[in-house]
Amino acid sequence: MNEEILRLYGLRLGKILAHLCILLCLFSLLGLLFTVAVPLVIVFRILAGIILVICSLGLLLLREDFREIMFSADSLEATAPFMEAYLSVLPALIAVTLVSAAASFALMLCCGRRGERPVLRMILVCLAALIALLVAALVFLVEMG
Amino acid sequence: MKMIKKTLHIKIASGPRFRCRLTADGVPVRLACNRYGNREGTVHTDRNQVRIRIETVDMLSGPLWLLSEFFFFLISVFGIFDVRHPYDRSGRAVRCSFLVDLDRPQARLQCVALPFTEGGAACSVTADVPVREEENRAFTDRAQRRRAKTVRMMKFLLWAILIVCTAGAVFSSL
Repeated sequence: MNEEILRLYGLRLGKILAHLCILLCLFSLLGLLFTVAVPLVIVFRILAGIILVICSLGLLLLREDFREIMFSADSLEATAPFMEAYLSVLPALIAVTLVSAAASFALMLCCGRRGERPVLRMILVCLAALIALLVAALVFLVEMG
Repeated sequence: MKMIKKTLHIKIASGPRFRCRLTADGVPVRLACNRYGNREGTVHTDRNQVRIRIETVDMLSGPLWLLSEFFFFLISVFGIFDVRHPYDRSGRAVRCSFLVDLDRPQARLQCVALPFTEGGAACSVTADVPVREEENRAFTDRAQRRRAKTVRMMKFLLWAILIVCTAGAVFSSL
């Protein structure tokens, strides 16, 4: 009985990790729209969307100039640097969007809409997440000089 | 005298939420999901009779259930990325035991899960070999239901603590 419980724990852990990998895949709104191919509950998609927005804001917060804007009192003058900061992060976001969209499309082709091959799906999701992260890091590094 | 190896193909037709453990004479049988969502397994034996047991296994029946739930709650970012139904909240459990006479080298047994009725039959069995039903019942595991309630309470409390801490941090930084 204990082996069975351990197996269930393993499955659950794997699924949570896969969900977290999917979150990395969904690092852009367009990517999120494409991932309807992955059979997940709607609540998860909405939550992933919310977290996605938080992640995007977090990405912006990494920028020093954006942080200054956030904590400055004068909000009117802040608009221009905000846009500048946002535009500087945009290439990374677009790159991740394209990668996650392509990955989602590949998932849909390989695994079917109902996800008949869950192991393959998990591998592809992890792979897509890894690629998305690498591309994001690369674009970010290039941009930062 | 050479013993003939017999094979029993077992199919369990049920919903995806019916998590069960299948054993043949106490040995766990590996089940694979087919394309229709039914689970299939094969038993190889030399004996003329094999005892098939189907029972539900729940994560909350483990020894460190509260600790494990806490762990999963944390790593799934406060339950957001957790699986949809990790355990049955109402504590529904199933216990079935069948004695299958293997009078031919290849036999088939199909088990169809019935809708849950307290104290009623858990599944209906059809087979091309004689099957004797020893136990077949669906019941509510009260201890498990109590544990599910405790876990829900723990999650609620942790969420409340998180919200209070976040609000405190936000207001103190202003």
